[in-house]
Amino acid sequence: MLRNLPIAWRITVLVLLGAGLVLGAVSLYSYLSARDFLEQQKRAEILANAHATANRIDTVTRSVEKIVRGLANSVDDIEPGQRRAVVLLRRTVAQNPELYGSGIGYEPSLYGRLAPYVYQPSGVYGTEQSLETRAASDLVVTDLGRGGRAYEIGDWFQLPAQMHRAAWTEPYYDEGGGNIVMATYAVPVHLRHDSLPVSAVVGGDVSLYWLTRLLESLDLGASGYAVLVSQTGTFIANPNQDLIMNESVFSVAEARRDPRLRAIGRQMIAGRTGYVACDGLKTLAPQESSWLAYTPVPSTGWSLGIVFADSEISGDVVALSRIQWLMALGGIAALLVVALLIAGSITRPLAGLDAATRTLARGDLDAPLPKARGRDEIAHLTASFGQMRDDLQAHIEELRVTTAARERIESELRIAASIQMSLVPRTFPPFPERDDLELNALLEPAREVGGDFYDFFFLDDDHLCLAVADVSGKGVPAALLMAVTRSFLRSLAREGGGPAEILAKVNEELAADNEECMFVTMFLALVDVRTGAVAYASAGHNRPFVVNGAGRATQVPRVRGVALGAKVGMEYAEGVLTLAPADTLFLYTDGVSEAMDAHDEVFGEERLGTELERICAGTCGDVLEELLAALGRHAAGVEQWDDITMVAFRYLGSPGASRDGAG
Amino acid sequence: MEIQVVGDVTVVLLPARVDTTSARDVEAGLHAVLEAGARKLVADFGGNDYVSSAGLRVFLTVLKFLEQNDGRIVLCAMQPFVDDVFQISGFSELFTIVATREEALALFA
Repeated sequence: MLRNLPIAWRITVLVLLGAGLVLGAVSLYSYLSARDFLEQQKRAEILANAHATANRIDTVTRSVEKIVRGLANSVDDIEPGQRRAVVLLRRTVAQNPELYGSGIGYEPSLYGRLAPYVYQPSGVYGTEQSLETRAASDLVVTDLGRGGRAYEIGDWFQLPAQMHRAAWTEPYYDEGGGNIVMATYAVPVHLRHDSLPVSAVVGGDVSLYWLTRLLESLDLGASGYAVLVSQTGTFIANPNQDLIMNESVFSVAEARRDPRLRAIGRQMIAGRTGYVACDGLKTLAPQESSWLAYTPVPSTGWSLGIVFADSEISGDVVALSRIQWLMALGGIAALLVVALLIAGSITRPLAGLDAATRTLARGDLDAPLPKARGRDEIAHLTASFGQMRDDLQAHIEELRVTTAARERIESELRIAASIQMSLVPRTFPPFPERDDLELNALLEPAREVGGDFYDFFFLDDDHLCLAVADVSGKGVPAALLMAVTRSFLRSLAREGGGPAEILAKVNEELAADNEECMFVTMFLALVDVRTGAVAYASAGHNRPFVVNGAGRATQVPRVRGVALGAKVGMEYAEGVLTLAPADTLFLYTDGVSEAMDAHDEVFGEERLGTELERICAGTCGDVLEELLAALGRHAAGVEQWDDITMVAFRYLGSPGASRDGAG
Repeated sequence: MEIQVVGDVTVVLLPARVDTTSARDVEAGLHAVLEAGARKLVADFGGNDYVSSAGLRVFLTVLKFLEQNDGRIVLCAMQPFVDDVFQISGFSELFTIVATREEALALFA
């Protein structure tokens, strides 16, 4: 998929992927460690807050304990009488704002039910500021035992009476007394003048409303709140008033079917300190996930809990991580821009080069190339590409020139070939009216024309002139020399004389002013068709074969003679032979005898003789065809180097002579 | 093409083939020798086994030049096939051809 993208995008994607991974890992690590640090900090802060609050409550309760114990000592000294006790109680309550009310309950067996109680209904919350304004008239004095009320069955009386020591009661609603929810610190008193272990109980009350107010006044942030539970786990203070006195940590755990909360409750009433996750303590139903720090209030055995929503704790972390993520995103965006710029700077010249290549591929070699800047690989590529284009241009130009030159040469070759072919007789049979001879000839020009030719013509009714020649060299010069030679031969032969004389004359013409030292080999024969007598001469030419009627091939005897044109003043020897009817005279050039095969082996005159004997039964045309085929088999694909020229003349006998013979 | 000088005689050792392709080089080499003033030439065919008609033409030009400039060329050490070429073309009548280099050199002594 990545492969289909442009290189710039690929580089960008890969860089971003790599950098994103690193940035992500760093961000994740710093986020985790920062969260850890923040949580530790928050935990310490909340726990410290819980301790401070617990201490504050403890200060109040200890102060109450101290007051009540002092009061108990005083009770020991005073007469059991309503008046003195009430004065004492009034003074104590008036002076101690943390005290909602205070009372003394006497053991009913001493004086009957007698329990003077002083409280301050208007100063329900016992706030400190109310200390100044609190007047003695605000205090209410009552007797808890009035009308025979059995105060001695209350916790506040029973606990110290039974245990013989001071104790905090569970919070309770003090009906008929203070008429509020309170907790009482009760101290047993032993009066010296009786024998009872506990003669009276002195109690001091703390208003739970006051405690609730105290906890509400704490600065615990937006979601934080404090709860206070008693020794049995019952809520003493809770932002939700409905839960106070009605529910406990355990009843909430029961309602939520939350064993973890039950365990937390046990830890709390056992007086432990802890910091745990819980689902809030304001309702029976689970709330948002929160953290609970709890610590005991040592004097009363209560436990204070401070609850913070998880979201508030993680709020800081979220804010922190949001900053980090924003920075990471910003970094990646900046990286994207930088990577695109870099990748663009790499691929822009490539794109230019690409466009230039396309233009070039369409054949426009003059299209401008992008400028190469710097010395990087792309600059090298551009330079190499430019070099390649220049080379290509030079090569094409060179090719154009050489092609033109070759076309010129080839056209010269065509001219040479057409000169050559136009000068030899090509109509067979050449003398259809004659039945005393059979004649066929063949000229197979090589690609680079040689300048072979053959010729035959009657000098008069009875004398046939046969010639085969090979001009030295190739191409147009050879073809021209051939044309010249043929003209001399035709004109000089008609002047009369034997073949040796004719050759000598032709030689004189050709050798004069032959600066180029070109020469022509030629075999010339004059046949008297009446008798079959042949006179011949050779100017450095291959000796022809005579194949007789019985199929035996022999080369004509050698006669002296230098190639025509080599030197002036040459003389030529003349040979004679007689052809019997059905004898064939076979003339050829060295294109036949020296035809090469793939191993540079020549065809050879010996083999030529053998082939002639093999195929001589056919017509002259057949013989030439068969020989050409044999040469083709010999060459076996090797290009024909020299012209192949062959003339076959078969003497059939003079009709007159045969008539003579018959007669 | 190797050239040796033996006294006042220049001996030219011909390459294996003197055909249309190599004739031009042989011609240039021989004419360089002639232009350098050599007038007594021995063409040693000991290392040669083929001479084409283009090759014959080269020797003819050398022969003509030497005949016009009071010089002489002797051919020697021809193998049978090359000898045939000279015989058939009749060039053996134009040139002095001997069997060995020694014989050729002796002709200039």
